[in-house]
Amino acid sequence: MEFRDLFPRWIPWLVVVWWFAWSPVAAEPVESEEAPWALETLLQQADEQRLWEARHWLSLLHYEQLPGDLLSASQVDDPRFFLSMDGRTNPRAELIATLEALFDPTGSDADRHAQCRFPARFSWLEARLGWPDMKRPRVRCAAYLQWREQVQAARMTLVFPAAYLNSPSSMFGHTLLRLDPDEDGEGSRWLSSAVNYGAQVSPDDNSLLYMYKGLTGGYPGQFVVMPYFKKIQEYNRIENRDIWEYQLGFSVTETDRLVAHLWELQAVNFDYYFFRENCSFRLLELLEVARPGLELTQRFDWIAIPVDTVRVVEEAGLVDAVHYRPSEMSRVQALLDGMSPQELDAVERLHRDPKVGTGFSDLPLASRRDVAEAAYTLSRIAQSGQPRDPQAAAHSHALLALRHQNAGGIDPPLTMPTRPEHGHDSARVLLESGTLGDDPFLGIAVRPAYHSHEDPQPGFPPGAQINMGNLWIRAIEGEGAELWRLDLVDIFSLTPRTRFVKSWSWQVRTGVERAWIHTEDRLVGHLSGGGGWTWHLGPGARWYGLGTLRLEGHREHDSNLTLQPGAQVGAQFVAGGISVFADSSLWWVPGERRRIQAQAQLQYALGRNHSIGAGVQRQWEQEARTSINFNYRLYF
Amino acid sequence: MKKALIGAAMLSVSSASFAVAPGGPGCGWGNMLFEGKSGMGYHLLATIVNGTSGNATFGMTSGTNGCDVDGELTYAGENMIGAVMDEFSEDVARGEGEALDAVAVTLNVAPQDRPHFAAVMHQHFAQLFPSAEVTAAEVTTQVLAIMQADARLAQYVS
Repeated sequence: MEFRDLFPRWIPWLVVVWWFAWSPVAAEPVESEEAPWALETLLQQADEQRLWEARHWLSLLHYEQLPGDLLSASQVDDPRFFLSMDGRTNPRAELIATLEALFDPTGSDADRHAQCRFPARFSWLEARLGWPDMKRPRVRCAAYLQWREQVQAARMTLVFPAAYLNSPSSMFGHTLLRLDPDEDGEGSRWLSSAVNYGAQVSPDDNSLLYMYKGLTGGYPGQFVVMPYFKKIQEYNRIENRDIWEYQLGFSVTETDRLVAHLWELQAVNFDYYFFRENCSFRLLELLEVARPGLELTQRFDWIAIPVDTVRVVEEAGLVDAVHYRPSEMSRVQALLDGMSPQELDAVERLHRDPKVGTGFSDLPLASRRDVAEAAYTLSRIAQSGQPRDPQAAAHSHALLALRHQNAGGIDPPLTMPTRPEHGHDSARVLLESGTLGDDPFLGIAVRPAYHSHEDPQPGFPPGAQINMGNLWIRAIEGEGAELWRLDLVDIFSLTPRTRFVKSWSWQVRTGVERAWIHTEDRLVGHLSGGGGWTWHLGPGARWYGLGTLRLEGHREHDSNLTLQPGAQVGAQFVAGGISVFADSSLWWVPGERRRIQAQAQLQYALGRNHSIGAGVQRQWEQEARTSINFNYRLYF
Repeated sequence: MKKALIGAAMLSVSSASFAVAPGGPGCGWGNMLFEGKSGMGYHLLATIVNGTSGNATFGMTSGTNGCDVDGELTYAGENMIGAVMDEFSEDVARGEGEALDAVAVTLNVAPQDRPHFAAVMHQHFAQLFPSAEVTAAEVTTQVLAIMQADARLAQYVS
């Protein structure tokens, strides 16, 4: 369609070219003198076509189409990215400046020429305006060509390192893009190029400043390209996160377009915002550049959670194949899960002392192989992220030598877990009714993200709760609607301790909530934290005990702020669509009565995005009170 | 291009036996890529915003983990061994794996010879990794010597 539209305009233009080619002016074809002429025509054409309004041009400049035909400023916060002074706010000015720069006679530094710095803009404008090749200055882009030799890209893979339970900061996961060479059996995925968007953190700042600046856009975001094995090392080995790889169905031409644009973004600063303009959002923008007309970012108004962006890519039909790359921890856990008590004992003995003791040599070869593998991997996991310890290294090395003596491949009986994007959607609305003591109530709660212990389990790491901005409103008979609870942050991580890995469990929660004080539900602000241990209780079941500390403040309290030590014991059980979460907590309030609260919640998943359930709660303070709730949860 | 690069790298390997040890100082076996950055705040944020500090590599500039000579996208064999030494040693012990493959690719070993490369490396585990204190340079020298002594693999080092 575009070509047919263009075609009639070509004819007069070609006539002019033909005329000029034979005219006395062009008798000495010096490119630098011809360029301004060609440029004028092109500028006129660009104006007629209103090219600066084309979606693809706006994508290349990282402008965003806002509702009501409004246009944001470009999200690139870097003057080096724009050729016009107004480029960040005026796409037309940038288009004109780009055309002018493309037709600039070659300067001394060819690599800095617009044709070399903006290859994606160049080829798009060329395709839309169609100038004869001889009419542009010849520039040889040595650096770009060399880089393209290194980044062998025929296909793309979206990579999603999932959350690791005990690392709260990883709980939303991350996405990056991998550029793969042609599938001809010659290469290795390890050597593919990984494209990662992240904040460029200044190591000189102190810890608190890191957090604040990181979340508020204080650090610039940049694209970085590195060999993929570095990402495997970072996620699979150091952070113990499973990696999901989604091979995408983009053509070589589309991949090429993306790589050309990626070059334009080298060392270019974006504003990095944790919630929306993050890694996942930027990757969707890149995919939109690869295939003009593709709309992926529109769905994310104010928050882009990595798994949701994976979902959008899948729903757009872009995923051809999925590959699961388990972390070292997942691999060794699968290995241990399949072991007999005798084998587990052998692992433990080797874990303590790599000299082969009794019990090991008696095992059959396949067992010895598994046992040596597990003992070695555990020894390395214990050293993960630590400075090199010569003694630990010698221990690991002895175990590796043992593994060598019992050689052969191992396929741990690893069942692929539910794919993260097949878990429930991230946002939740909860409708409930019930009684508080004798008073009936209706409630509604809205939570933008992400997962609670009682939510449907598939696709999420078991024992990981992370909620942001959970707002809860209840209307109690005779009292009207009131704010019941607002959890700004609510993280509750239950990692079971095993024979070999001694993990901590912990929680952090802050917000406002109703506390049962002197027979009233009083609104208090609080910051609560706790640490303790979790143990396996059987298949799908775990129980935990935590020591807690709670800082609480409210207006009517005698002293405005109280620090309340406490304790918490509970259990979680998940099987099929059923999840049960039971918890009892105790707080000592200085100068007041102690508070006790015990509750149990049973939920049943009706498919991926629906769940129904019931709960009971009993509170003791000045008086005791029992509450009951029935709820329906919808994930969207 | 890739072949030329690797070829050049191989030349430098055979002529000057590592004036500068690949992997650099502080890079030994059992290194686990400790990046030297510590502090809860730093780690939290780095994970949250998927951040990197210092040099932003674009396939052009330096890596940071102390095991790399450089952070280029194209790895020649000896740099590769330094960058994935732990994984390489594990695969050599097992007799198979992706790290063995990747090293074979950067050494320009043809696909049909890679299983043989894996088998030969596996046989020589004790020679390649005599102790935990072995360095990337020593391992690389041994890999090349073992290849040189093997009828099928010698063509890739000559």
